[in-house]
Parts: sequence; C-alpha cells; structure tokens
Amino acid sequence: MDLEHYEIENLDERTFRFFSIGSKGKFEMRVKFSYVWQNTYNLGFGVLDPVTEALDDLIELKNGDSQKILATVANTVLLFLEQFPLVRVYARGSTRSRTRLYQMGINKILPLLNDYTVTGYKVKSGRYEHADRHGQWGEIELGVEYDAFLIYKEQMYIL
Amino acid sequence: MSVIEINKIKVKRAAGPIVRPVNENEFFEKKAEEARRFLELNPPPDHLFKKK
Repeated sequence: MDLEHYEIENLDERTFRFFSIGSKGKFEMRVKFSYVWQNTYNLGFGVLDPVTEALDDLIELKNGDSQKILATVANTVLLFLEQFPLVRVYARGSTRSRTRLYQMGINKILPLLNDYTVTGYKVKSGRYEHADRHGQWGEIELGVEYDAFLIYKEQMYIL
Repeated sequence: MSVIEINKIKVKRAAGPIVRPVNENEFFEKKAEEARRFLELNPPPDHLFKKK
C-alpha cells in the first residue's frame, strides 16, 4: 500500500508498534491482534501514555498525522494477514467517531485491496449505542455507514 | 537490525528497550472481550466467507 505511513516494528508475531511524529511530539502506538473466536482476531490499537506508561484508546493526540496513523494501522492488518492468511481481522473503533475514521481509511484503501475482502456490520439508523442485534453484515459499499468491519484474504475461501 | 518486507510493507524487529505498558494485557483483553461479545450477538453469516 503506497499511502504515506510510519515504519512498523514487530514486538512479537501478533504485536506491532510505531511512532506518531507530529506537531505535539512523538508518541508510541501499539497494535495487537487478539484471538476472539472462530478464526477471528480483534484489532486492538492504543497510544502509550508517556507519563503513566499505560495504553489508552481515547486520547485525542491531534498530532496532525491521523491519516498517516490510519494507513500504518492498515498496514499492520495487511502484515498480520500475510503472516496468518487463514484468519479474519475484526475492527471497530473505540467511539463512533473512531469507527467513522476507520471507515474513511477503509474507503480510501479499498481500491488497493484486490486480494482482500472487507465486510461491514451495517447499523440501522440511530441505533449505534445499542447496535447489538439491530444490523446486518454485508460486503462493504461506499457511502454506507458501518459499525464494525471484518477483513480477510480472499483466496482462502475459494473452494 | 533485521528488516523484512511482506507484501511490499517493511517491518523490522524492535530494538532497544521496550516499554511494557502497565495495562497491556488488561487493555487488549478488554478490547477482545468487547469484540467477542459483539460477534457472538451479531455473527457474520457463513455465506460471506464461502461464496468466492
């Protein structure tokens, strides 16, 4: 993927880190893929608070590089799926606005993801806070708002 | 420092001191549990994965 992104380091086979560098300084980011169920891993993403040394996914850095961060997180997903091509990755933002940000990022890279399938959980209007049982999964379409995403490599499902 | 390239994405093995976040396990497991709950309540239909 050719979008501008940060250099990625792997800490173990399921954990990655990179550094956001912008107007507010340098911040360490962590991405970890945790097993959820049925061959599916959750994309966990947080900022390492430099003071408390704790991960936080509600910090608004406003470091001026959100698109670059998003592209880097997307790259970790592609890396993970290259290493483990038989799994699916589940992604959902920690807030509605974060999920929208994910969606913007996915929309941007969707044309580049020829080898991958992205499906989304579509919420019925106004139901986000109580999204459970009020929506449906389907292949992602531009212009539709989704609440969660599943990304996986296509070739594994050719039967 | 080793650098490998996967699908044209470069990744290197982290070097130097690595901070272990004080809440690392709790943080990621909480996220995984939320995902687990969501997927249990809203399982994606099998046809999404089999129709290719």
